Amino acid sequence: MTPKKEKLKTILAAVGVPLRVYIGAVFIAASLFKIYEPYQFALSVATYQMAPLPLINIFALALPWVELVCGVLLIAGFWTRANALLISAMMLMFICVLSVALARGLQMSCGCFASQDAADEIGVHTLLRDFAWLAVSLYVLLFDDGRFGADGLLEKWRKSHA
Amino acid sequence: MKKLVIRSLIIVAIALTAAFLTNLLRPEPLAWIAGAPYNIFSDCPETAQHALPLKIGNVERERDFFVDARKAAQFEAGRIPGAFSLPYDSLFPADAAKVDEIREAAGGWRIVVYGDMPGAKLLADDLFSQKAGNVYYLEGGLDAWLAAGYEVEK
Repeated sequence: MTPKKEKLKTILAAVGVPLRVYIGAVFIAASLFKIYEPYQFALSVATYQMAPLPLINIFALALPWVELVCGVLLIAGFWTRANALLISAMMLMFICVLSVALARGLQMSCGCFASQDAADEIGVHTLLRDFAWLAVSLYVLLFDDGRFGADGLLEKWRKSHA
Repeated sequence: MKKLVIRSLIIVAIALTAAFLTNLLRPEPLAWIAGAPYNIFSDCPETAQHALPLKIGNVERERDFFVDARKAAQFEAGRIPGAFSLPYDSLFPADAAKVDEIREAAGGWRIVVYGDMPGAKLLADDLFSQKAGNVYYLEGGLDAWLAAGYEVEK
């Protein structure tokens, strides 16, 4: 690789650091309440009326932990791309669910739903926010190879012990 | 690419293990497979076809729209912040223009009528029958509000 290309890769990876810290923090923050209150999260999942009943609890128990682990590892820069891949996949899934809910015209803020979380209004602004987060995670996936994180440190350690 | 997928699968496996263990440690673990469908609806006036009671603990102070069914003098003396005054009149139904105003101000969220009983409940039923929206009446009225430690506006 030419020095010019290497320099560009380094700059792109450096830009990815604050982005991955931001998206990691978003995912950690999003996961904590869901881990603490799995029933409430399962109720929210059920409110969207998309997942079949046998999958609702599995989803409600597992997803927040995937969010938390990915968020922590992404901030640390450990297996950066793998975490960014998972976060991008989750963002894509959220966007699909949200789009279907909006297309169906699900109005969850009438006060008739048992889940107060689901009652938070969804709209085009939520969709745009999710697209922005997807863009951030895709940037990290494509351009941040973790050289400014644990991946970089491990690589150096490996080289020094080779 | 293969390495990326394998690493992703390992991360998911770690997360699943953590999920499994934390669920085991809960005093009341959530079943991994739901046994019965979730009741996603709370008691709803739309299905009940009349205004329903609302306990003070279920009030959403920031979002619910409050209607004060008491006399104007009582309203002036102290009311739930932001409440709309519509004194209950046992002889006449609520004015249609005021019902429209309430519907618009509530913005699709719950309308909670409070005041002395049975006036508050009757006004809530009246508002519901005039299609003001999802109308509830507050159990215990303003006393319940004060007992919960919430402030009033004067």
